[in-house]
Amino acid sequence: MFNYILKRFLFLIPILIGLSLLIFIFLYLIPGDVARMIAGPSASKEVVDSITNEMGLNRPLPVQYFEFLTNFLTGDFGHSYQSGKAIIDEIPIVFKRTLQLTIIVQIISFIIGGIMGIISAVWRKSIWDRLIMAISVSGLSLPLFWSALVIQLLFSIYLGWLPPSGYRSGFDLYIILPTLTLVLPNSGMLARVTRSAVIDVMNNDYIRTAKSKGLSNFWVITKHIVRNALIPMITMTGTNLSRMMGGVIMIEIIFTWPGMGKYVYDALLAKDFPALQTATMLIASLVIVINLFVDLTYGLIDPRIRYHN
Amino acid sequence: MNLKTIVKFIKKEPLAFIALLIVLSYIIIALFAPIIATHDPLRVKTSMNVDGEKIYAPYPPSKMHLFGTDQLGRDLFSRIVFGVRVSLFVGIVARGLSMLLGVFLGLITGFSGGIIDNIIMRITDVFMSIPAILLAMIVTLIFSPSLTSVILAIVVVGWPDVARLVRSQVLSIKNNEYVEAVEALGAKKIRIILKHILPNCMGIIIVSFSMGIPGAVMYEAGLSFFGLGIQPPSPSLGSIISNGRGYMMFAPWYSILPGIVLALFVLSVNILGDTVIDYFDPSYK
Amino acid sequence: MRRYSILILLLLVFSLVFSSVVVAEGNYGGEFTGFSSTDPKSLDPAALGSWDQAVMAANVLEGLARLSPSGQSIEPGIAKSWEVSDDGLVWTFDLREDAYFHNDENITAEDVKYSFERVINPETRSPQAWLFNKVVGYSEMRNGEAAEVSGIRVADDYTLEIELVEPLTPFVSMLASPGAAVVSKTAVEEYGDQFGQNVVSAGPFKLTNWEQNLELEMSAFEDYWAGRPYLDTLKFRFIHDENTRIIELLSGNIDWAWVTPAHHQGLTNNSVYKDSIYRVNTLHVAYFIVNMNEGPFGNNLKLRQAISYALNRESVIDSLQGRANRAIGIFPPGFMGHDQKATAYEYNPEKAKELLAEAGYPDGLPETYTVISLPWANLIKILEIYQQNLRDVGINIELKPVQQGEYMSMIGEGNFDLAYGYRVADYADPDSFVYPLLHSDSIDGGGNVAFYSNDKIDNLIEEGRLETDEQERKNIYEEINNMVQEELPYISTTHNIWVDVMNPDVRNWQPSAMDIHMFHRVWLAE
Repeated sequence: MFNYILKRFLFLIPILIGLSLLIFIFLYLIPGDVARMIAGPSASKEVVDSITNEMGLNRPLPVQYFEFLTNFLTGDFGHSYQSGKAIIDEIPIVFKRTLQLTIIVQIISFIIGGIMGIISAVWRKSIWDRLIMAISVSGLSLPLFWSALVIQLLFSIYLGWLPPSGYRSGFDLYIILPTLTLVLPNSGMLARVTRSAVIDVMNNDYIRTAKSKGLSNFWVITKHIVRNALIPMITMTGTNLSRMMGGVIMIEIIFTWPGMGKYVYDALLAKDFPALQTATMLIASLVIVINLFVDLTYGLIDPRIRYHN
Repeated sequence: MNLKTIVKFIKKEPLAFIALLIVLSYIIIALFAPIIATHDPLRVKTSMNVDGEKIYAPYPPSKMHLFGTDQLGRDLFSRIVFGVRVSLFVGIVARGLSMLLGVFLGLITGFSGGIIDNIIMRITDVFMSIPAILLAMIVTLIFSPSLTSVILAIVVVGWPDVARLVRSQVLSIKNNEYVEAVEALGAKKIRIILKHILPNCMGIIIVSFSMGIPGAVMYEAGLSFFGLGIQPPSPSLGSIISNGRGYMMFAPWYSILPGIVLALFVLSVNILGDTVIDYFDPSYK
Repeated sequence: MRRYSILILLLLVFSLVFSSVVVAEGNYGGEFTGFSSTDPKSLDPAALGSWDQAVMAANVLEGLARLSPSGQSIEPGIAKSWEVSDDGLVWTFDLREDAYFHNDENITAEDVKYSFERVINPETRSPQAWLFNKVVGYSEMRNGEAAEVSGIRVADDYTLEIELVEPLTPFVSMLASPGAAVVSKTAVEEYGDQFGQNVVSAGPFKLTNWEQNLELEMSAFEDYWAGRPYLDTLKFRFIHDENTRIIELLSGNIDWAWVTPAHHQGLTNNSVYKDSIYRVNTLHVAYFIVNMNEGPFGNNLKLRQAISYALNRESVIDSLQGRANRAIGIFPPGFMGHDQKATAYEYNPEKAKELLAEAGYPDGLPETYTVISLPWANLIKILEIYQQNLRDVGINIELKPVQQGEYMSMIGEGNFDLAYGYRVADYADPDSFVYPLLHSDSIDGGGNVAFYSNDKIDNLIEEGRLETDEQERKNIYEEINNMVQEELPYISTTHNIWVDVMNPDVRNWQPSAMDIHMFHRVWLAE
């Protein structure tokens, strides 16, 4: 077991290096003359050329990659082309905002999805089950960018209850719509997973034996079910966390939530390569780490997986 | 597969049957778009004279325009119909290509094991760690947003899942006695893969292909929504939804209708898929 | 006794008149929240590169002269008057003695010289340096040969002389642009790199708070030379999406929004807002830029004419609900040089096809060409109309929207066949259009993005800069306009009409024809 964990951790290194290489190559391939963009349209060719030289943009690729990698590892993330500020200063600010949104979404989805899943499983095949499952599958079939617009239309434009977009730090009305939009697919997935986990547990012999023995105490059974269903729920949440990054990006753009997702998107459009590289590296690295922990937890819990590898 | 079994199926899973009908309709719409559309989806008409008064596009749903028009006076129903065609085309082709790449790599890595397996698996880790929509946007920007770059982007985003799936299937088949026997008899590796392993993966490949289509359709729509997908004037459900954003207050049908069309397709495929999986291979989930 | 009553009566009348004048003057105080589509990142006059920045910057910055709120003329700023020598080469500026920076330092001629040289200095890499390119000593400083500009001379504390290489009639108009604003040397040295976010100039508002990517706040500058502005606080929220701005306006969260095509009808019929919708003919022109160095468009006049006849400009104006004017040449109405009599290129697809045949393409253009443009949604919709128009006559174009940086890059490098662009006047003079767009000197980085070179036009442009007689200048610019309409290096389409909507409590708002909207005369009714 320990070997397995160690191996996984060791593999992080080539993965992260591979990631940095992939990101570097992809970003290099994006068209756009950086020097010209910085110099502005009114600059003459000489100015553009001098900027190219200054920034070392005409050095061979491996050299530029190596510099990028070493800089990144030492925490020198460079300066954003858009704002001129040090990226290392900007990132914590935007990351915090995304974290705020993500945590709230995951907590609410967990609770709602969990409850829905349990109800569905316990009253299996009933109208409630069908309804809940229908809602769940709808939740994850709706295009996120579209449901965002519909939610905006309903709650902001028609009902006027909530602001359509924007951001205020701390808990404020602004966080409600983005959260609501993300909770739909997340809780849908969680409901499905919870439902099948609970059903599995309920079919488990132990429970049936316990029931037949008369230990029909509602609480005993419930506790047992919940304890066992919790594991797949947690791992699903972990998967959601890493998969939902894409969704968070879209939501942040539409609701103008100035978090990491919007930061990366703005950098992408502006061809702000330092910011883009750094932000993408950080997000992807985070995903890798979360996935690693999810896998390890899963492996710890479910012996079948552990040895199958 | 005779009438009795079909009727039994309908009675048992009415929802799935409806979903099937819906999916078939979408396919028909996609194939026969030019016939089904009521107008030329590109014909612009920015103003009309009605009873001596000038009115500006967008026009609300009416007898002439079933779903109304966009702000350039182009018929929305026709645009949505062609949008469905684009969505399905991209969805099927992109997912198909993802399958090709993913199956190829999955077979190799599953069968070879060792270092090759390790390397390819780490590569999939790397690709899967970058949020899909971001990766897709980067790819389309590299190749300049267009139909081809969208398909390429979806393939780049989609192949890792497929490769992993095929790999795990290969791993479980590989240790099968029959395969080991054939190997011991000295059969060539490629022959083994193609004749013995691949056929046993077909089930899972077909399921993965079909269940992956809604995802591909959503990516195309998402990219087009953000302006990084299909370029104007070609209609795409995503870009129509995006164009309608400004008109939510006065012409909400503009954004809502194409979204419903998109969601309905995805929902139907998901329901259909769920039912099929429930029947054949619950362990897939 | 009677004399006293008359006196009292007079006093009463006088005080009544006086108080009504004071009341009509406007209320001091209040907070106004406007918008900008993005965070400007820097309000340093030397760093200004985009429209967004200019809108906010104009309220914080001040130079020798300033724009009138309508944008159509200039007014004295830090300089209370100016005059030019008989040979047109030496401008003398008489500065106010009571003009102060936001940090309460008195502004002297030395400060003006410092600010200008800072922009000219190649180390600052300012995109605004070109404003001074006719000043004696400019090239020497740009080449690194001199550490100062000899043509900018401090005659005494409040008198500044600027000597030009050749006469330049629009010179003072150029000095009214935000790029020629005066900044405090102490502040520049104190803030260094951060000066852009802590700008200290002499405008009616001073910068007080800046929350990155969220909003910018300015407050009234008490010691502004013309008296403090009415508003206490002026905020700008960075809201990229134009629809969101309207929703925020309707919810009362902001006080100002640009009226989008989608909301135009709704707002004009809305009882609350219909009287606070303002329009102005922007000094703007939109056009297809033809890369004159590349075929087939660059060397085939008939082809360009065919394109111009194929475009249905009225349809585009309809799609904007009438919020644009048809362009005939490059000068918008209100600009000297605007000439209704130039060749109009009425929408005529038949004529377009004829010309296309004459140009050598009886069956339309065989290849598909790309038109690059900025990626704004409304702009793309307009281009889709033109795309359809061109397709109808046999010219197939592909639209390629690219982000600002890349757009500038491609335009600068000449990496295009056709592009869609626009120009808003940088200073209130027709020279601001023609010199950058048409003069051959402006080709490498100067704004002549069509790579257009025509000696006759060069001469006319230069004459326009030297000529002082109004009527003569008018003739010159009209001639330039008409030549452009004949040659079509820029196939002009429409002139924008800016339409915005204000919180109904706002008084004395005048949107600027140059898109440099200023708030110093705006006040709020209770």
